[in-house]
Amino acid sequence: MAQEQKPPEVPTVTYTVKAGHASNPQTMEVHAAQGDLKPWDLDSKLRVVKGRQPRLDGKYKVTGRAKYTFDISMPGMLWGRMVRSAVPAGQILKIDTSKAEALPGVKAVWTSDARTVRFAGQDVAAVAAVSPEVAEDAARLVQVTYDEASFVTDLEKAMADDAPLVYEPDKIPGPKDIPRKGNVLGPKPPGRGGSRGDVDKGFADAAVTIQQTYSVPTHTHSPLETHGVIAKWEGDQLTVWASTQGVFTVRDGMAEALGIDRKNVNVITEHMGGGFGSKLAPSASGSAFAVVACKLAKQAGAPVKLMLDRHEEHLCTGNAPSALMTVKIGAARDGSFTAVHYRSFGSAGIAGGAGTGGPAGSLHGKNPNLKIEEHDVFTNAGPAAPLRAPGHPQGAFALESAVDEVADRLGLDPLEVRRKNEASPVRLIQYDVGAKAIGWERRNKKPGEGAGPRKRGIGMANGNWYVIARGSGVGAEVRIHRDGSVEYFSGAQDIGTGFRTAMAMVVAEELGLKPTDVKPNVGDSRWPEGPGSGGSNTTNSVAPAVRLAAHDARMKLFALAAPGLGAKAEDLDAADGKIFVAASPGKSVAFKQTAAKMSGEVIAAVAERKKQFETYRQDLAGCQFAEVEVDTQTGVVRVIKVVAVNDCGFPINLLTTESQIIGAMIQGVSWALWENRVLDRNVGTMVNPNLESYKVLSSKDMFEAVPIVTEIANAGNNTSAAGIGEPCIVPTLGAVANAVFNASGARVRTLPITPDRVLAALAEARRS
Amino acid sequence: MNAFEYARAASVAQARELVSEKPGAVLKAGGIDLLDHLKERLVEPPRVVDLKSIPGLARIAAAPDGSVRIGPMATLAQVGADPAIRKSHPALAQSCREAASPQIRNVATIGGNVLQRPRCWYYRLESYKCLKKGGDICYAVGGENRYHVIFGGGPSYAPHPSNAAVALVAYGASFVLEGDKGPRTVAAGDFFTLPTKDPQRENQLQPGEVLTEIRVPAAAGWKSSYDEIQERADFDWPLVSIAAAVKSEGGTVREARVVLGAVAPIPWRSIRAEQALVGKSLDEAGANAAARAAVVGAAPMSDNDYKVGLVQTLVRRTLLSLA
Repeated sequence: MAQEQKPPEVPTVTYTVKAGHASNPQTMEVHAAQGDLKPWDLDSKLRVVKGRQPRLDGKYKVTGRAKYTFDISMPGMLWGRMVRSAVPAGQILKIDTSKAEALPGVKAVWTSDARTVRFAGQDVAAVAAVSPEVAEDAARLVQVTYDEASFVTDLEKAMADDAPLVYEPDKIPGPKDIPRKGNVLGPKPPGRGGSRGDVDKGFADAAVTIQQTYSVPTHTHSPLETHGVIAKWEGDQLTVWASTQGVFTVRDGMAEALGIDRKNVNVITEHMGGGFGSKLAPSASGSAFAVVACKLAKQAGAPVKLMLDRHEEHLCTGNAPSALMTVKIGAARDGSFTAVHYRSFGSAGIAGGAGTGGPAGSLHGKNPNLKIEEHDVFTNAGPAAPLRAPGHPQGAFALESAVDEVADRLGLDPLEVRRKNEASPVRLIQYDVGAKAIGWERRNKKPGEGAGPRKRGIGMANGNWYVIARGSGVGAEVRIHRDGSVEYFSGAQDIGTGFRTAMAMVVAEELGLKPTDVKPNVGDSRWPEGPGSGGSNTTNSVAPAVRLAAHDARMKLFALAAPGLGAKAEDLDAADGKIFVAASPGKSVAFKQTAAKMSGEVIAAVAERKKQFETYRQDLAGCQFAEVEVDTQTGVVRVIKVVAVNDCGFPINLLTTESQIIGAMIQGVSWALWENRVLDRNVGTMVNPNLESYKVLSSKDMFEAVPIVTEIANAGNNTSAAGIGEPCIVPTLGAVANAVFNASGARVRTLPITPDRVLAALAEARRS
Repeated sequence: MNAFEYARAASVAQARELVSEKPGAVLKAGGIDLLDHLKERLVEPPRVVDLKSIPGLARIAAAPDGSVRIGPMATLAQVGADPAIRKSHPALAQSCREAASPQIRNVATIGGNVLQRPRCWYYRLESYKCLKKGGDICYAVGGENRYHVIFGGGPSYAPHPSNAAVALVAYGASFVLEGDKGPRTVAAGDFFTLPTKDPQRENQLQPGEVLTEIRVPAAAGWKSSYDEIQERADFDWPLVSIAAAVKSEGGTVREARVVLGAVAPIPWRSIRAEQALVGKSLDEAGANAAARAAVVGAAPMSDNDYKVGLVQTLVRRTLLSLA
């Protein structure tokens, strides 16, 4: 997901920028590549950007006219279907496809070369047939013989010395210099933030020390549109329609896997029905289904559509790792931390990357002594994939629960404890904004003090993320046609965030038009390169290139308008469909009239980003406040309200930015209260691979969601945009858990916070 | 799902004929439960016989004496909104209104709801060859059993899924079943059968029989209510549900019905709780006594002892709401 690249050495120009928050402006210098523009900052008078623009594709989505990958079909198309391993561990002795091949209507069959099975749901074989029904029948006719082996699916059991090994020690995925024992890899070197100071000394200096262990089960992404592709060959040319977060990733992945040239692969994603990080791989983290579809299509000589079903979606397309996190915090009487020791074990199934230390590394920056130890624990379960701020929601749940436990022990306001340890000027602003919006003073001074069995309470938690951007290798094209119509092209995909609308707003800003005047063209690998949508980097990587291209087109148009206005091109401005002399706006000419003066049919401006600038801050601050009601007799928790306060740099489109924040709050509440992948402990297969017993928030569980953006002139690129998709889910789990405690006195340290756990925690609270 | 023949029945007799002439053929009411079975290949019928085309099977008729006859094809939405049932048998209406989601209630029928198979996650997945599918073991034993039974379990431990059935048992309803020998009437309290009898069945509907009517006797003089505890506010199966009814005289309970759902392989009538109430007043002490009595004999599994506490809370709350 991190796509930071070393900036190439390019000649620079220095700009002075008024950066930061309007309440606390900071003047800073940034070094932009020559030809790049000064970042929009606190002094910029923006007409379109930062406004609220309904999605340009909204009407197509709500009327069903938007074509998702799932909706695409073509003449002669075949239907692909995977066969997956039914057992969690062992060796495949035989794959017999003869009966499947003999079934009328079956046109192609594929079998995997891999013989070792490490999780139930692994790719084994595939078929392509004339209808989905025949494909399903054929898949069921594939007979697989296994030599089953012992397995382990539970995180803690996998840590035991006598646990069955998921990998032989030399086959464990991960750097060779990291200690490994059994199924455990670690401690790994700390990630961002890292360790500092001397925790032993810090704990010795502490007035109080708490140590608690928290756990989070595996959560699956569960996008509404499952993973899937349609693969079509025309000679050597391959076209793939993919439900993906990265058309260029799919292009490169297919080219590599099939041994063909990238220029012969074209990938299209016009609309995408949710990914949350699971659709960043060329196929999926636990399946090569897209490559298989291309192979089946080649073999059959016909296009093949292969969409996974809901069951498969849970098993092999990724998940957010489970985690077992021990947090030890030492604090002085006033709440200042003297040391934090964060130790986590997480399972990404058969994959690595289950770290959860990010929040511990970034939050509470005034704490002088920090030690982070992360471990990956391998289990016989589907591999994880990035899920919206990978590892951070889990880590922030543990850390921020522990912070509240410190505050409770000291008898201090949990918000005051956070202020004491806060190093971010942005989050200090957010504390005030959020506390006011939720009515922080309404919380119980003593947890559970409310009358009656149904008790309300308020809690909060922090979250963090990073400014991640692709500083180079991102392009955009803007075209102005002779008739005055305008369109832009970016190969990058709109994964539902509103990317295509935001980019149209950037074009409209530069050209003095309305966003609805701009036709977006996104999600096609034939168009200028963009990043995969991971790390919250799409808008802040592409918008600067779009602005550059639009600015170039603007200056070309101004050159056409200048003579008639008796001014120089650089003295002109554009707004409301007119080009005018900035110093005397009365002297103007219509945009369309100017466009008609062009010599050819089109002004095409292509631009490429050269480098990321210095940023106001490299972290994205956020905090959330939750109000819940706990029925202390049934243990049922209802979320009443969540206030999310987040930094995203400059929001290009405030409306869809808020929409993303609301979505994150929903996903976070769902994670905190319900979502839980359950693997049978004896058989090792998933018992709830559906959306009936894998529970996600239902409509009636919806709460009042209040998204608040703290606009920060970030200065890292010419638009000052940063990112929002991920940071806004990081605090939610902890905020809900802390609110449950404030409401009821029940400290639930294991997610999801289900009635049985609340009742058990209440019983424990009564005992102590 | 497998390829099957689809037939519309014009009458109950024809439906029975269409099923009997094709071994393995199944009846379809709303189709909610059947479609799940078809998609997971839990059944692979050669023919699906739709009952929707039979006129008159969705009729709800309230008699002047307060009794109600409900056609099995009435939707949960219909039953839940029926003004007469809401007045005469509020617990039944409530149980239908609380089920599933609005979209499902508009399609699912009360007959289908009462006859649906358990929602046990092992039963519902083809890969687990469990007792209910003719296999040898109940995977819930020593497995993932947080949603399973605490009463009446063994050899299968899947809870009965119907909450309308819980209310129907509480009201002493009966089911009219039409078979080869003509119609027969079975009391709801006798209709549902424990897995000790046959783990592959949850009731005594015989192959070839069709549920043609639900008769609910008048409940004049009774106060009744339905309630449930579920993890989500909507579109969820209850952890525990209850239909309770009391008939009081001068502040003293004369007769009581306490029927629990989602805790046993059948709607679980708690005679002990009923007995604890009779002769008492419906106050905190009476409700507590009934709540304690309701869980006598509970046999929780490894992960579901929380249901014991939930039963007590729900019994107490629901009875107090009737005071």
